[in-house]
Amino acid sequence: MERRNFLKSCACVAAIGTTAGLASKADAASKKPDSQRPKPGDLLVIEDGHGNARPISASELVLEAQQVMAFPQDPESGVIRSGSRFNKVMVMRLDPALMDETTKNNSEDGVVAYSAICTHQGCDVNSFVADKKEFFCFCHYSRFNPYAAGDVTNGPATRRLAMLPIKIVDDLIVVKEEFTRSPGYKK
Amino acid sequence: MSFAKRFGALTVAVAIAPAAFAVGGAAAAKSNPLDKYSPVTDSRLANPEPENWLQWRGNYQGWTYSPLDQINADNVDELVPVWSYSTGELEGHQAPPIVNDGVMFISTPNNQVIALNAETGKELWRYKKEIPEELFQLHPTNRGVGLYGDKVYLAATDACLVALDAKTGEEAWETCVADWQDGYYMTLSPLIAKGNVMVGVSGGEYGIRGHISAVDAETGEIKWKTHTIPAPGEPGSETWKGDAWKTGGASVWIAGTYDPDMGIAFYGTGNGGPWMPDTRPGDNLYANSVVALDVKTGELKGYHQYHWNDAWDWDEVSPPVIIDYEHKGKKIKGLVHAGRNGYLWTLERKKDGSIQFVDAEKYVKQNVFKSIDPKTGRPTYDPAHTPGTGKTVTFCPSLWGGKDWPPEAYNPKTGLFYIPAHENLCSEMGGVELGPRKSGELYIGVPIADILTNIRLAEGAEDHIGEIQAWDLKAGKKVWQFNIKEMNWGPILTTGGNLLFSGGSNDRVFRALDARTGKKLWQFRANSGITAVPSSWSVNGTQFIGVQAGWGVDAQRMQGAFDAVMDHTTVVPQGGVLHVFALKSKADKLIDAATR
Repeated sequence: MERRNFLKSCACVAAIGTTAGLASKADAASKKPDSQRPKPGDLLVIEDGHGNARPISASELVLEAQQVMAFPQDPESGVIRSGSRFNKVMVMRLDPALMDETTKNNSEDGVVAYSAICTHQGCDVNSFVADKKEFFCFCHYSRFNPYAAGDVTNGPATRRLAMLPIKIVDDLIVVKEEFTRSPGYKK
Repeated sequence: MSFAKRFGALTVAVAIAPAAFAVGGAAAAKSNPLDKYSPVTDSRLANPEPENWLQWRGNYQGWTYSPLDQINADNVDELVPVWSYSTGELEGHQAPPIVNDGVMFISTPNNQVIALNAETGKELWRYKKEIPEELFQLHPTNRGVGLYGDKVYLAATDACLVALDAKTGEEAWETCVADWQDGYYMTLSPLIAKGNVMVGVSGGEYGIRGHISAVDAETGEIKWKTHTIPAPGEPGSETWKGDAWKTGGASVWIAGTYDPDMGIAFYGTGNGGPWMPDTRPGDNLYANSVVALDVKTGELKGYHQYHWNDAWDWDEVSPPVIIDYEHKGKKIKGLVHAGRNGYLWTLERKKDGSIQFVDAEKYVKQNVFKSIDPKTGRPTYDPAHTPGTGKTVTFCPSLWGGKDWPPEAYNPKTGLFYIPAHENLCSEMGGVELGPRKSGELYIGVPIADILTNIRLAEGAEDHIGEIQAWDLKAGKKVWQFNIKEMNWGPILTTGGNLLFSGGSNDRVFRALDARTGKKLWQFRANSGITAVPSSWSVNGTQFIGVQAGWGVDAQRMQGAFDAVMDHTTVVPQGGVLHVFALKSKADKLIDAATR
């Protein structure tokens, strides 16, 4: 959050070499708890835009309903890891009978979590096309198969989405392992 | 250049500007135009030499006109490619080759600037700004660098303005005018006058509040910042309710035009945000307007709002073109704007900076405006074609408008005004309830899936959708039109050789028309679709035409929408290439000289 505040006030003039300072601040920010990647034990929560958050319960997820956008939260400190948009994940309930083995291993009771960052140009993958059973990126129309570990079904993306393995504990969705690959894209 | 020399150049650049890299071939060239680089002045920008193309539309007035006539309507069939250059970038290339005495600068997506020998195509240096890896924006493009003094200016997608040394490509300074993490970004070419480099911000779809900043060309200090939405208590604030002004959009993503005699810049502004009008009741000044700003102080001197409380995503970001014309026997110091709302607006720029409505005429199918007040230009709306939250309707033209961002052109020789238009195209759209805004997240209020399938075809669409229209402003009449089967995202160049050059279609064709009649005289099929501004320049007695090919951004999105509602899939390959043309009689000599 400090980085965000810093940049908000940054109608700044940077002389030669100051860009290096900006880069170091970015590096430092990426090490802060709110920017660290999800860790095993984190809860998946929904933010409301006013700094409030609530955990997602597995029972509220309806089969193949539009995905829920969530961030991981450290249950001990309460820090929500929304300092990096690469931590944004899509959570939804699928039919376990249609899942491939990898997807099944990374899910529980049909609930899956995927990185919401398109591997093509980094847009948010925020749509689910129900009749095709595919995630859809509005920027360039890339599509991904949530039943096949995020495999690309239509380009221009060429790399599958990162998956965030989860488990369900007391109806809450808990991170089981780190992302299956680095979320994000290459410029 | 040897590897050792190249490595050496890289080391020096990294030591001075760690966030960028610059490699140069300058030392190896026997005849390097950078050795005699001519500083760019106010006077040169106001009166550009015919052989140069010093700013993105050629002159302050926004004519996109070159007086050169070596290539003309009689010999354009002898135009051939003389060199091309791969930019190494995908996405939409939209910037023109900007040329100063034999040195060319092109900008590309991903915040890259390449300096080239404008005659031979030899690379002189290359700069690429390092951008935070988490940054993305809806329009990953750049519309051209600005030149002033011995510097080159790039408005980058992280909302920072960068000044480069024109001779080396090394960073001189960087000034951030907004926070990219809050949804702000920049894609426009800077407008430069009186020592101020002026830039505006994109991000209307993220709930930003638009503004224009002037940055000192030499020091990088911010001189003034003028918001396009007034704060409470400021004039115009009464046209907003509650806190809607804070997230009201009115972004500024196209460079303004400028009248040096008045010292006033004219900027177009984007639509209000979120998209549905009931989310921000009131007229919403100064969204969907032209604003007149004093370039020394940023003071708002006048405005004209093309339409109030927008409901159709009809950004009016294209600035009006400065043309003095005759209307009903009266000579008018004018402003002309082909609106995204489908009307061709003619206005008058008054001595005090205020803007007077003159006339408005439909140039494509438009079913929203029921009337236009003859004195003020204020339209009334048909509610049956005005969407809202929970209210889905159809309307024409589509949300991409009669003309989107691609610039019009004006040719003082033919006296005609040229518009790249979309005809026979409508939209179906409605809003949904919005949650609270989250910083850096889309804040539109229309489902993305609906936006992607919004296209509705009107009668006539089976014949054509894209058009190039030529208008006689004095007569107030369209005098010819050139049809394109599907979309036209082609900025227009017109020349003293009675020619008009443009691409814009999904067949990847770059074409030359007779500027007097619209007759097609020449064509070239490029590697990718062309949505960049073409330009023209001359070096050592040879006139060149240049344009970047590179399909992407909204053209690609419209293609996706077409494919979603039409029974076809169109493949337009991506990848940026600069194509440069000259007359065949010059070609062999040029290529021999470049490769000797």
